[in-house]
Amino acid sequence: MNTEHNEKTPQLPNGLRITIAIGTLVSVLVAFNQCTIEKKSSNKRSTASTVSAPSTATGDSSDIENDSELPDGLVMPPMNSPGADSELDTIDVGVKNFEQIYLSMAAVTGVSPTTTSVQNLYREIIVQLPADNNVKSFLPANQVAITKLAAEFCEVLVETAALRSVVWPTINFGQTPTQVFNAANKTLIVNQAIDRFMPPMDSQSRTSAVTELTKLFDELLTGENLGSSVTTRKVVKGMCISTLASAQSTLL
Amino acid sequence: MQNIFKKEFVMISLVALFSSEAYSGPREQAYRLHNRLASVPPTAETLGQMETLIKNGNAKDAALRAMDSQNFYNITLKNWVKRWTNVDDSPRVPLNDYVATVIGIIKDDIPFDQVLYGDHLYIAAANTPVTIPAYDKKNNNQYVELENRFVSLKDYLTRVNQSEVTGIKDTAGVLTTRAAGAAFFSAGTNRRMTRFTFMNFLCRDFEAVHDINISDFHVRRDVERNPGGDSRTYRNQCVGCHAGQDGLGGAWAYFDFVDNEMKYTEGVVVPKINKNNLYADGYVTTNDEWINLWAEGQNASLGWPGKTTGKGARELGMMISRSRAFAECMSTRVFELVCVRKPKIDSEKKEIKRLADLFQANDRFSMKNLFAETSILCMGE
Repeated sequence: MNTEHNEKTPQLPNGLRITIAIGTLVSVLVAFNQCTIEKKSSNKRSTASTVSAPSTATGDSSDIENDSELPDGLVMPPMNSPGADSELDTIDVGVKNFEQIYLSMAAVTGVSPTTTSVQNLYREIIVQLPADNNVKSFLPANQVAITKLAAEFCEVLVETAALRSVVWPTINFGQTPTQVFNAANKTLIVNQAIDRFMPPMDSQSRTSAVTELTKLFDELLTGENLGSSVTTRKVVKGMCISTLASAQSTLL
Repeated sequence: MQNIFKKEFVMISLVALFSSEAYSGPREQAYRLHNRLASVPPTAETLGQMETLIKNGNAKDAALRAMDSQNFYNITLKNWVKRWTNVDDSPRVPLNDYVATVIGIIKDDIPFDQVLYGDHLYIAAANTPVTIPAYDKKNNNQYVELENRFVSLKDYLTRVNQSEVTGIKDTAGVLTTRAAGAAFFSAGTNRRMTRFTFMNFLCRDFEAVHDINISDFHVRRDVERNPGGDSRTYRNQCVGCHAGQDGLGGAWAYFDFVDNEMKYTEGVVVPKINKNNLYADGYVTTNDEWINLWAEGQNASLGWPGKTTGKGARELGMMISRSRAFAECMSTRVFELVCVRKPKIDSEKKEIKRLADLFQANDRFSMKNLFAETSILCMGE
């Protein structure tokens, strides 16, 4: 049946068929170029122009320059041409180290770094916090430790009237969520947390952050006792932790 | 509730992370500059002042404003220098006299080349607001307490003559501090001090200066001439590092770290230097004279000053800190600290050379100026 069908199909001219085939091939190559074109900025030697291989060569002038210097039978694979400014495409940020994180949190919350509870926790988890500023060595375990530390700072901040009144001066933390968390106050709490704990942002980023934090606000209230001022403080601690431990706050 | 936290936290983090590259006006630049120099976010007032300075084209003044913060000394410099004071390259060590002396030299804007030969030591000032143990050359208690009590190193470190406090006649800046002795003079044959001085202040480990073409007449007796029964190994590998470093090693002939303190025995070579005898015709150290055999050949490119022989630690420290490699190394280290990456493209490598020129100009070696000039290179577009 297929044969009959094929026989009835009008044959395309060969030239057109070749053109369509080449066109299809080119479009596939372009669409999936990340699989076939290697970034030119690589400075390492490779075994083939399109496949990276481990190499100890540094690519500088001290490396072997030509095949005559190699043992018999070995041929130096081609070296990728080093890129120009494209190397700057790599990450241009760092992450704060253990002490920078600790004292940054102390600075923005106003909690003294000598406060027993935060200092005890810091000493306990210090080895879990980032050791250096290299963002490439940042691990999930580091983020867990940062969040723990932020939780302790926020605990002290929200439970200390003199400190919390600096960050949220108009919020009455003795009131219940029903009384205090109207739309205006929610926005105020979020904005004041952002102002205090996060770096300056452009309006688009700020809007995104406010939207996400407002969603978090509502989710934290779900299922909680809305008639207790303890819930008020608990939820504000949540807002505090999520901003204080955010990447924006811990990046350099 | 924990799940909600996790989910939202990741979301906020990602939003924040990706947005950080979106825009960088004067306010964002001021924030980044302060964050990188002082390690903590600025107060609203400082941020406003720095923003105004940047808007008015005074970015360097903005950087200097950030460096006014005690956190520049207490966090940034302290963590930067701590790595130089131990063989593990770790910042997780207590504050010590080595770190305090580097901080003090920068704080007082003393020409930074003196870090390797000046008779400087920084200790807690008499007016330190908390009770601190007195300086003791047998322990590190004073510095541990300064750190634990978060004492401002900018305000309460004071300079004294190291030789008067420690009794060491041939002081050489941080090289003869107690912390340096504990890390690099304890046990061994004092070669560690030469190696780590090269690593910390010339940005080169011995592999980078390995040269088998220079004379090995200074290689000591404790280096086997036929390791594994093959003298070619000695000629083609060992000598590459030992010829140069043993030539310089005489500078440390009178130093040792025993019983928790630095010992300096003027005129008497410490026994450990000549103790092991694996090759009787090897060099025997008889005094603290040294010679820089790396001044010739491939390592001449380090830009050594004219005087490449001398006596003792101070003269060696002076030769190293007056080399071109020292200036370029310090510029590179500062760049890596405040830009949080290595200089990569050609224009940045040229900047390192320009900064090194600036650093060396008129023998000023101003580390403060180097920090200010470098930090504004990467405060954002």
